[in-house]
Amino acid sequence: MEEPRPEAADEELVERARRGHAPAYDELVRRYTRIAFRAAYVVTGSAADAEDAAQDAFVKAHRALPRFRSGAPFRPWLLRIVGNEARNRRRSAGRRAAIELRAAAVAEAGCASPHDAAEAAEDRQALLQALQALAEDQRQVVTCRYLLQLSVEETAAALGVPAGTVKSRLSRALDRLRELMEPTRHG
Amino acid sequence: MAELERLEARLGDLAGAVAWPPEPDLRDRVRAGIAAGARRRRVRLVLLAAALALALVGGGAVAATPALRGAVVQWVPAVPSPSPSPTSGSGGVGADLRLGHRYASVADAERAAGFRALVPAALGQPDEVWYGDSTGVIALLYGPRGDLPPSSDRRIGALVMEAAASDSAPAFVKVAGPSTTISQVTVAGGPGEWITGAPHGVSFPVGPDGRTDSFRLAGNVLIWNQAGLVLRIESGLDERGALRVAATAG
Repeated sequence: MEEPRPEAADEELVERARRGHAPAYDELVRRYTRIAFRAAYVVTGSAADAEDAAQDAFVKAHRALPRFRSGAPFRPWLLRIVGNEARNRRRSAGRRAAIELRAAAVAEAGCASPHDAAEAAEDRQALLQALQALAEDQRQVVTCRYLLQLSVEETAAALGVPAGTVKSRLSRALDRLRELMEPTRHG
Repeated sequence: MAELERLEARLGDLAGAVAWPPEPDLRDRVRAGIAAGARRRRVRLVLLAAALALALVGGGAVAATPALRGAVVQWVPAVPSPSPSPTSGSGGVGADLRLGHRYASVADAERAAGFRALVPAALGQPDEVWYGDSTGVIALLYGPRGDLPPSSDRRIGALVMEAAASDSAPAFVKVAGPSTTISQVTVAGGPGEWITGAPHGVSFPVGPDGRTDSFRLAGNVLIWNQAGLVLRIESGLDERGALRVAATAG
């Protein structure tokens, strides 16, 4: 089968996949594995469970393609399926999610000096620690919205809650983060 | 507000600096999962066909005709109608046909059913919308009007029935009476059947998951697969009229 163009739009790939074009669905899987896996990780707190949840979600999404509304965005639809799979796995595993977020070593291109770079790294670490201190539902919503950079609608789909709940949780979470960051900012 | 914006900016910066677990390459596993699911569905279809064949032996089959891709069987009815679905208290013509629960809109019924219905543009928005939990069928009911003659039930011009098939292959099996005629037609580029003299109340499987449904109106039925759904139009329309309507489903 002809390989799809890497720049092909989701809509085109979905239509081709619906007609049984396997490489088109391969490309969708490749394109969305990262976001699906990370969203599942936020929910399950386990990389192994997240991997299984993302895989099953892609298989179920393929089966559901005939019912996918033409022209609708693929990513939030997929994230809803991913979120469902992840929550099912988490429930069956019988444990609470407790993701460990760490700051990666990144080049501080924008920093004028090694001292500034060290401060920037410390600042990120402090923010991560504050994030870890949030209640789980607040941490999930902040992680999805800012660290995964999902839209409000996509966050709602992934977490299985209404968009209004995402907004209210986000507001409370940001207030709490500001409180937690107080000593850092004035220290 | 500036403080909030600074916090949001810091979170945005953090997005590029989180050490996530390495993501896997899922393509091979997803392909394998899709193939395994397709095999399971084929096995279920074979089992369904075998079960139907056994039922025919016990029920008195008189003739069998080959279908395009599904099994179409002419049969003296020997099975009872399905158990009535619970009906809503909201009334309507559909309540008499045991179509399930009535919904205020197609969108509401779609949410209950978990799939998107195809509404024929030629018919427009239905007068009543129903969904049956036990059948998995969304029903769009239209009263008679200028372009829609009354069916065998004078209160109804057309009944459009839709159920989610498990895959894109035609998966329906139909049972018709001895006076029934069946002809093969093309609908939406795919195979379908035009049935005249369809008997009322005879149950038949819909899809491979064991659910059953029955013809609700004695008369003419157009049945076909489209977009992963099994659709049928029961109406007083002739073949050309029914095909014209079906061509606008989307």
